[in-house]
This record gives sequence, C-alpha cells and structure tokens, in this order.
Amino acid sequence: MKVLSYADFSAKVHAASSKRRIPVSVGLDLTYRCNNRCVHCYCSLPQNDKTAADSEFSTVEAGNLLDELASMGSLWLLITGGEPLLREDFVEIYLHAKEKGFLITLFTNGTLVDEKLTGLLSKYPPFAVEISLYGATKETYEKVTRVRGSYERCLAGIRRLRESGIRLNLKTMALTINAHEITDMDRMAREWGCRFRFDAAIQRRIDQNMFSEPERYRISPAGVVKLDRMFPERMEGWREFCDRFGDRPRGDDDLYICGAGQGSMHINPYGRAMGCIMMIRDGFSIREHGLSWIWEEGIPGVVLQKKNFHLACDECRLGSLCDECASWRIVEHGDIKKEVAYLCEIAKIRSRDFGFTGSVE
Amino acid sequence: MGALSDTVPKRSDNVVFRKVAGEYILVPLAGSIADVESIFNLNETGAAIWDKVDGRKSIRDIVAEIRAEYEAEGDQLERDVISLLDEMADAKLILLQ
Repeated sequence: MKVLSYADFSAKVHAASSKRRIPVSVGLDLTYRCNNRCVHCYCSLPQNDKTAADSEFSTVEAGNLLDELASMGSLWLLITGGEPLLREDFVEIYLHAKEKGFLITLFTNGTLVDEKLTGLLSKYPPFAVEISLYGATKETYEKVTRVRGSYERCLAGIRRLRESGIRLNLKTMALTINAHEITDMDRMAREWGCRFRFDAAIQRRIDQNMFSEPERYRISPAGVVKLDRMFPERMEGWREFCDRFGDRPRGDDDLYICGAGQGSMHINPYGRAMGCIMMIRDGFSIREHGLSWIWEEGIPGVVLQKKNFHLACDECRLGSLCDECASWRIVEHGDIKKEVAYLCEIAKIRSRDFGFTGSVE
Repeated sequence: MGALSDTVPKRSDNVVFRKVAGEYILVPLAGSIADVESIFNLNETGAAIWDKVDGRKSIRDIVAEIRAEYEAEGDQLERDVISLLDEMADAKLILLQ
C-alpha cells in the first residue's frame, strides 16, 4: 500500500480523468435559495421561495444521484448553492455523500453554522469548508449581503468552525463596495490561520433576472489589476501560469476550451446537469435523460462542438491571462459569438502592467 | 504459516474503498484518520486482498485465494499479504481479530 501525498494523488487522478472522460469532480447546488441577498450573486433566490423549494431535487433523488456519481468514478464533491445549509435534509445528504467516500468541500456563507453542524463536521470531516467573507467591517459586509446581523452570524460561524478544528478557507468576491477592505480581509484570514483568496470576475445572473444586475458591482479592469499587484502571491501565481501557458494563440477550433465536461460536471438544484455552472441554464434534466446518458452523450455533444465562426480572441495571445470562454459569452450577452469586453480589457492591462507577454493585437 | 494466519481481518466501518480513474484508494470517513493530507493507494493485488477482507476469512484463507487467482507459488506471497494487512491495521483501516 502506498501512502501518497494528497497533491500527488490529485494531480495524477485529474490528469487521468480528463483523458478518459471520468467526472471526478462534481459541483452540486443543493438550492439557489439563500438567507443573504448579496448584490453580486449570479443565482440566489429568497430563502422562503416556496416554488423554488418545491422544484428542488428530493432527499431520495439526491441519494440516488450520489450513488450513481460514485459508481461513475466521481470523488471530489463540491456542495454549494445558494446557501446549502438551508436545506432541511442537508445532514442526510452530507452523510450519504460521506458514506459513498466523496471528498467533500462545502461552500457556505457561514451564518447558519451552529454547534450541531460543527459536531457533525468534526465527527465526519469534510475535505474543507469555504466561507465567503464579504467585508472586514460590519458596514461593508452588510452592504453586500443586505441582511442586518449577517456579519456577526458569519463571524460566529467562522469561530465555531475554527474551534472545532475543521479545515476552513475564506474567500471573497472583490466588488466596488468592498475592494477597499480586501487587504484587511486577507489579514483577518491569516490571523485566523485560514487561506484566503478573492476573485473579481463578477458574472451576470445565470437566470437573466432583469431586476438584479451583479455587473454593476464590477471593479474597473484597471482596478482589478491594481488588486493583483497588491498581493505578491497572486502575482507569482499569474507569473507561473503564464510561464506554462502564456503567449500562445488559441490556435484550434474548439468551441469550449476550458476542459469543462471532460473531468467535471455541475448539477443544479432542479436536477439539471452540465459541464459547468455557467452553462447550467442549458443543462440536461436528469429525471428525463438519466445521468449516464447526460455524461456519455449530452455533455460531450455540447462541450466538444467545433467553432464555426470567427472571434477576435482567435488570434489573441493572452488566453492564459483571460477568463473569457464560450459560457461567459452566453451569460454576458446571450450570444456565443460576442466577446466579453470586460475580461478582454483586464487581460490586456495585466499583460502590459506585468510585462508577461508580447503582442496583444 | 504461523498463528497469525488464523487471524481474521475485518474492515473498519469508517473506510470506503473507491476506484477512481484507475486508482484504487481507501477513503477514511470519520475522526482524525479522515484527514486527507495523505491518500491510501492500493495496486491491483492490494485491491484484490481488500476485496477478500470480509470479517470471516482468515489470513490463511485470503492467501490461499490470492495464490489460486494469481497462480503464485512460494512464501513471498504470504509475507506480502501479511505485510499489507499489518500496514492497514497500523493505519486503522482494518482490525485484526
């Protein structure tokens, strides 16, 4: 018996899974309902939305889904939402996933983490819990979540998880209204012994809700790169990434270039599955098609399509600095042929500021 | 074969065997051994041995079955099986009873 380091094992399995098309990583949204009302959220619905709750997969369906995923070779399971702890059957679903041997990461806003939950997680540890911290101060945090008292509840959840010795990572979305506190959030995370990361790529709502505009809270492209420069580890990460993949044009006619749907899959609360969360609106119904057909036929039919149109991105050599992809184009414009100018601008500024690559024309 | 061969190994209730992308692994579910900083990885023979650990078969039975399946001769096989089961017991993946 070999005892492999987690990093070696993970690299080995992920490399094999893409080649052999095994869904080793699965994202599972338990609900889109949430007890926060974050300004930038791409999916959240009110916590008491009965129509949404009634449409979510049942406990039995969740169990069957987990059984089938395990038999298909899935190992890493991201339980997310919405706020997954709003599901009354969360414990049942979590324990079922544990019994099937999944390595579980739980995304939560932390506000519902009580002693009962930390007791469960201490006994049956997840791979990690990740909490989104939306501000270093109550004022900023609640400007994002729009729920009074949510800051204290989040900090209490963080404290309980830390005291229970559960592996906890913190993260945030960098927004116009909280970017000034990112360094303080990073400092708080370090003091608590947690890893911290942030992302500034705010996407539009996946349900095209006309009354919510997450994109209004995007930091300017120059502001995003300014944040990059404030974090040496982040800069170093970009540098390494560019050394490996930089200065290469896209160079082929694949429509989807990120590898989604090759070794990973996402499933929404209504039992629709697709290659990634951003494509989920066009996901296939598991009730209708069955998970096996979706993985073997449905998803490849989408993600392995060839591109039969021209994009400005085709000749761009900044792909490694850019988040742009077909799914982003669909969520951003509802048009797969229209580039995402916001991401393009960030990539160009990164390139010029960092001196990473040559031509951006 | 000594007294150890009469020992009956039993799987821990806290471990799940998984085959993922061609790799055979043992995933601990509960307590401190569920720390996944390290992964218990079996080769094909190790997986076959794990499959035979059912709480009823003795080590002698397991060795005999593996010997038949793999057409292996000599004492090395027995030593290898005992060594693997010892490692598993040390890691609390099985109980030797």
